[in-house]
Amino acid sequence: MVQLWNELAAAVHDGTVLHTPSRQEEPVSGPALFARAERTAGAVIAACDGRKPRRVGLLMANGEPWVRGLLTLFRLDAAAVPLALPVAFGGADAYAAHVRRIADDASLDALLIDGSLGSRIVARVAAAVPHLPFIDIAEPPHEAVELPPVTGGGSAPAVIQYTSGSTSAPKGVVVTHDNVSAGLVSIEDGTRWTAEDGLGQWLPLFHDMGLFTMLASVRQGTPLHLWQPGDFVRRPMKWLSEFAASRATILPAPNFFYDYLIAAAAKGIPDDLDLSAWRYGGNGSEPVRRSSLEEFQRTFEPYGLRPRVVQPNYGLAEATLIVSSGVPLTGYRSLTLDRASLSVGDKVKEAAGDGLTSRSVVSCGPPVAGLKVRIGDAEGAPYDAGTVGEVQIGGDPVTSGYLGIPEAEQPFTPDGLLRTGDIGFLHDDELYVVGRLKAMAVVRGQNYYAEDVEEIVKDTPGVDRRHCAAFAWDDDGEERMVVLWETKLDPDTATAVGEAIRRRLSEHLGLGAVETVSVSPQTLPFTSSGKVKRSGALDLYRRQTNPVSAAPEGQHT
Amino acid sequence: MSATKTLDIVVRALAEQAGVSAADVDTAKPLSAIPGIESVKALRAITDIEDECGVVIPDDFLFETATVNELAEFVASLEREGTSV
Repeated sequence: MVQLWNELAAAVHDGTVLHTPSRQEEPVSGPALFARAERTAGAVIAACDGRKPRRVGLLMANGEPWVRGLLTLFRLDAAAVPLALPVAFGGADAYAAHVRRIADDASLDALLIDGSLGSRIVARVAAAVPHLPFIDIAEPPHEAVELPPVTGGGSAPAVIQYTSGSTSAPKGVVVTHDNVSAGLVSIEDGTRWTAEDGLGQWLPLFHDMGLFTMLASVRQGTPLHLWQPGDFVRRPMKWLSEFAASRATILPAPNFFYDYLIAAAAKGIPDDLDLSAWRYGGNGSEPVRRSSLEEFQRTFEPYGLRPRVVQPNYGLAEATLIVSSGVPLTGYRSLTLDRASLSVGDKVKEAAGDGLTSRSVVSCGPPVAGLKVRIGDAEGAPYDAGTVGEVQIGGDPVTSGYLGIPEAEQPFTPDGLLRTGDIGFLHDDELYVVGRLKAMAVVRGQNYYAEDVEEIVKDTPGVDRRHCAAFAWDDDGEERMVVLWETKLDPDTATAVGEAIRRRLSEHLGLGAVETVSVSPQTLPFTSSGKVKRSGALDLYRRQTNPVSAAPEGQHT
Repeated sequence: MSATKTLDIVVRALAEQAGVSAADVDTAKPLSAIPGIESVKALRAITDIEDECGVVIPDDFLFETATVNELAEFVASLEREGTSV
């Protein structure tokens, strides 16, 4: 049984330095960070009327206080609930409502803040959850107070990671101390992390990939260079120079990161950029494109980028992150497959060559240590290698379920493996992911759920009887959310409603990759219980669009 | 810098990042109404505006549903503060 506080505290040393270049904070060593966390724990108890809190939200931008706040919660055996930060132009009210839903679902006892979010937005959130103490931990207290002994750990929740619920019912993945500890071993195995490495990361810590990769670095006692997403998004080439100068060796990212840097490079690359220290670049959390991998290598090889640094991987919060990864510094594999052979139950067929009827699929590598991967059907019956089915996983890092959701709705097969909702196949013991069963689009590494989108579309004036359907669509590796909605309005008015829908989705969810299509009343298919059939809506959409350029259902590059 | 000139810079930066013409930017509407805009593009536009006007726009501002006119007025007020110091 693991208590993460003890495990991580034992792993750090003076070389475990946390740098936050964009925050004007002094670098802090691992032992000093843990001492600060102990003092912060005293302040948290004081703010909670002298009691240890049970569940606490983290509402901060990337920085030392976020990391310290998390450690503080481990110290107190309280579950940490990372809260996604608002998206630009998302609107403060929608964001405050989002935090309130999670605060209610998780029964939060308090929120940790540090002033990094801006007082106006924090004030709106505070008004939405008036009963919760907001504990400002920007500066750790100077004085240590006597703390209760370290307790708990093991099967107690360490983190509750919310994966959806921007507008609909929130869904929190419960990961225990034991899950996290095992998950960090798997990350270390997948990346071949050693004491010589160092992490460079701009991913938000509230994102599962950002959070657990950061913890893997702490557990290895390696230096950690932590930026904010805005540093990379605003000035990508300046950020890349800072990353290179940090001599960090490991960097996790979604596919869009690589495309974004390729685009930024077109405007010029600093002559002195030296990427030679970089050893492992994860490419995960959204579909991996072979063209991105190749183009990135071509663009940055003259600047010291070693071959085969970027490795496709596959992971999810439910696995406490990583499931499979390309083996570091080996070539990744890819297959060119017949598009018609990529539905569930199909045996995949290699295509004669590239063309409209073929699709290249990049391998996400072999499963990492500690993870069992099976391709199976809904009942858990396994498919043969080379047959497409649902990716199902088991092992110590895998969650035992979502918070507060009835047994029957938990995502497990009868024999206890977790159903990921993604579909793929195994080939030469490597995992290839080709699409997903769950109604969700991934844009720039963020998951957007059809259910959340439909909730917003339904309430838009002009949508007839709240009838609409949303589903993900893939165009050559770029995903977008397609929205079909019923209307009796004339075409011009309907166009304006379509614009209003897009604007509301941008404001509420920060989702810009949206296509809206109006259809006549009574055309969308519904089940007898009144739920829209998204697959039927997708067929309707496919019939209306050019069948040559359209990918088959559920197919994602 | 005149307020009109600031508005020009703001509109041009937003239009360029969104991939539309300046005429497509309705300055009386929120930034999210600009066709093709999304949060990453908006952040890039904000950065361009900061560089060109020599100001720092707090992240906080981005979470408000401000109109393009309001953004330009805000930037102009930052410019005035900057020059008066």
